[in-house]
Amino acid sequence: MKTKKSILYKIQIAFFILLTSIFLYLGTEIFNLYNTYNTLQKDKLLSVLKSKNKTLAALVKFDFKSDIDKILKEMSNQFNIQRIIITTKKKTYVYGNIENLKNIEYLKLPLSYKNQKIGDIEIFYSNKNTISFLKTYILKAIIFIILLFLIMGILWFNIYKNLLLFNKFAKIVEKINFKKIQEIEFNSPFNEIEIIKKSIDKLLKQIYSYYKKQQELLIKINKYKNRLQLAQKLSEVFSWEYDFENEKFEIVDYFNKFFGINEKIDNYYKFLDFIHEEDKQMFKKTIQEVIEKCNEKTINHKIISPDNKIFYFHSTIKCISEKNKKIIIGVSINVTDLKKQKEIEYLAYNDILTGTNNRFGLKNKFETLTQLAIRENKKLALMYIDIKDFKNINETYGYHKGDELLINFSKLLKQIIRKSDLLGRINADEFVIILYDIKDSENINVIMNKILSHIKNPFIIDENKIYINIYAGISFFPDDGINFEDLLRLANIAVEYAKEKGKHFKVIDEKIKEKIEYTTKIINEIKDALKKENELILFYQPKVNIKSDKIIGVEALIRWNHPKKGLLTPYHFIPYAEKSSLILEIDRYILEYCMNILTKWKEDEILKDITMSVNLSTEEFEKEDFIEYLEHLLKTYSINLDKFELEIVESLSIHDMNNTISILKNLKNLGISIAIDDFGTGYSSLNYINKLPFDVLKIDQTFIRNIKDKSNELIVNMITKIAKVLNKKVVAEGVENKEILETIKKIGCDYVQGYYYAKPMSEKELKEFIKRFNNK
Amino acid sequence: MIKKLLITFLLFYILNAYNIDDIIKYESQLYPKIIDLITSSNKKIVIIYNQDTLKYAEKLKKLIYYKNVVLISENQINNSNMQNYKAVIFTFKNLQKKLINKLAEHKVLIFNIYPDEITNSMFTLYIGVKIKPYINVSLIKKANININPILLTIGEIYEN
Repeated sequence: MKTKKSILYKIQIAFFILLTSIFLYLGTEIFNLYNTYNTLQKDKLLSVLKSKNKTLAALVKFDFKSDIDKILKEMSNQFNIQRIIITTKKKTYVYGNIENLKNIEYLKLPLSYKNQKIGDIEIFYSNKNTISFLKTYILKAIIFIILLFLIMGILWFNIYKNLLLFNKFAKIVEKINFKKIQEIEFNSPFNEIEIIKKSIDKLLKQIYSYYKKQQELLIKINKYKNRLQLAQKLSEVFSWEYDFENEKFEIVDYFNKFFGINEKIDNYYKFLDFIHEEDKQMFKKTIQEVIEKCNEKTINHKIISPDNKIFYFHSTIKCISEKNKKIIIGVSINVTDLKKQKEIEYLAYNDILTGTNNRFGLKNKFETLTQLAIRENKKLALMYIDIKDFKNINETYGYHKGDELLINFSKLLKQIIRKSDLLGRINADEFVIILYDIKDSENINVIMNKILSHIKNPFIIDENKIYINIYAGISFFPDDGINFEDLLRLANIAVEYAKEKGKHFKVIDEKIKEKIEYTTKIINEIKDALKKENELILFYQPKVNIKSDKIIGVEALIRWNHPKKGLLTPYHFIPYAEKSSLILEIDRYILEYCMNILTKWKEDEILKDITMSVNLSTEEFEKEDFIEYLEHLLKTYSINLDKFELEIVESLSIHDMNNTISILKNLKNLGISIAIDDFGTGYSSLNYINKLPFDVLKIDQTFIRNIKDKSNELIVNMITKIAKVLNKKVVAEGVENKEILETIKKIGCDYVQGYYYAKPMSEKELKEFIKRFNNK
Repeated sequence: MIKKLLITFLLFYILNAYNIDDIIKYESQLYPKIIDLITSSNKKIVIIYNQDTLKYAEKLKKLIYYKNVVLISENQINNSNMQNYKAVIFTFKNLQKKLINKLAEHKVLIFNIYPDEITNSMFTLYIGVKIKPYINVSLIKKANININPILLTIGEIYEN
């Protein structure tokens, strides 16, 4: 408050100046007043004298002493005259006496009567009046000054106090947190402060509003900044700036994080260190060019990370002019993944080994080719080529040579086909050629013959001469189909047909198509049958205990109660189901069906002791969730586990021995009885048989039916003995007459099954049969 | 000296040219004022006449606003009680010195209606460019009367 710039200071100065001025003025005034008063007094006296001169002169002239005295007395009283001396030639009149010489003024005038000087009048008068007046004046002035001082003092104090209020107000304003407060809390009795407060409040509100908007903006900016950073991070984009004139370089922080670099890249040359050696020269040259021409360029280059990983970047480098200064701005996008993606894309459509199209690539191009064919009204032929026994070639010569062979074979095919044709490898040893503008089979014959004539010569792979043979199946667009997969499937079927018939190639014909159509139809019908309850049913062929001559079990066999064709045996539909995935559905259908039946049989007096055997397909056995599924069925249906048996064929069991043993163990753990069906047709070793967890051996019926043949008898005998040694039961399947039965009895099999006893029958028939058979 | 002669001549001329009736009018107004200036007593103002000037005396008396104004003849003046007079106004000329002195002794103001009778009066009328009191200072002084200095300033002083 007390600085030279403060209002109070200025007010103090003003007061001081005012008082000093007043003081000086008064001082000067007093002096002037004294002189003026004195002068006035003198003038007045002079005036009176002049006015009285004539009278006095006349009185003096004629010596009217008493009158003279009277006038002099009058004058003395009026003007505080101490002494008057009138001097003429003849006489001197004296009035009064000077008591004190102090403050005495003197005045002398000539005395004239009728314009003739008759003497002089001298007056000695006191300026006591003047002094008295001055004293009064000074006193008043002093009182005035004191009052003025007092008033000014009070005023100053008041102003000071009120200015302090401003100070206090200012301190409150100083402490305002504009982020929180929109109004000042300050009561003041003064309008000025109130006005300022209102203005500040208004300003605060505006600031607060502005601050809020700024905050929102900042949040948005941060959000967008974060998103940008995230976007950069996600898209792996780095932006950098190179001020080459001042050798300043800046790059986003994310660059360091991405590459795991601790050191700050604040230098262009440090950044260059990360550019791959192969691309460094080109990069530097590009930068130089951009600087010189102040233009924009894009380059692809590699960056080496500190851990020597290579990253591919696509950089856009631009020179910008800012305030007569040129700066290089770069944006580098990590296209490593894109490159990989392109590689993947290439791989997605191409066969990496042969460089030809893969299945997807072929399909893709096929679509295009068909559009062209339609426009030009041309036909396409899809040729499916399968190298015969390629697996053996691999096993014989090794996979490396096998690959080489495939490469050479694909080159051969490329040479034979035209530019308008497409070549692809869709499987290990399977190729597809799509021939454009093929009119008929004749064209096919030409091409096939060409191929076949070439492959008559061996392929020389690392000095090895390798001969190959092929099968081919051909389908036509649009005659046989318009869809790539359909044509491929038809051509593949044609291949199978060619294999069956021992031909090199087969063109799809109507017969095959019909067969396919039939297969499709059957499969659809099976699908429908699976949805219905009583179309797919079980028939049961009894198994007889030789010793007790009782029916102890049955083999459940599927039958199809076809709505049109009547009762169909598995032969009529199972092969079709096996070609599709329906066999799995059928298996599960049968399993559940059996579970259901067994649950019902539990309550049946006759059937409760009958064991049911169910055949299991390879596909179902090898399914991953098969055990889980069985567990689920066993939980759902409360059957007597000892009345349930699964039959698996021997050939299945030796397919993957370890896996088979594992699955069978799991089945045994569930409490399920296992029978090895069609035993003798596979190539099971004794060691394997010993390891397999099974309960029953079912000797294949070919051995049983032809048991008359001594060799077969021996085999059956041997199998039976092995089974006995292993403490397993033996079932002789296919007993068709008594002779066979007797032989089987002699051999010592435990159970028999065959037409001799009964054909597969319905449940109702079975019950009746058992009743009759067991009670005979 | 020449000035005085001229003035005297002019006076005589003017005096001779004036009308006494008119003068009495002026004097009837002036003389009371002079009397008031000098004294404030309640004494009488006496107008003295002779056989020839009675009419002037009566006229004067009529014109003077004072109440206490009496007329007495010339013959009576010597025997009157002059102590009771504050002023006498003679209406004739050739006044006796003795009378004048006696009046002066009693401090009676002596006036005359005839301007040229100043030698035997304290006051007459001076007729010149202006009409003003004619004052015989020496006679006044001899009577030891305190003259109001104003008269000395406004009047004409007779110097013999």
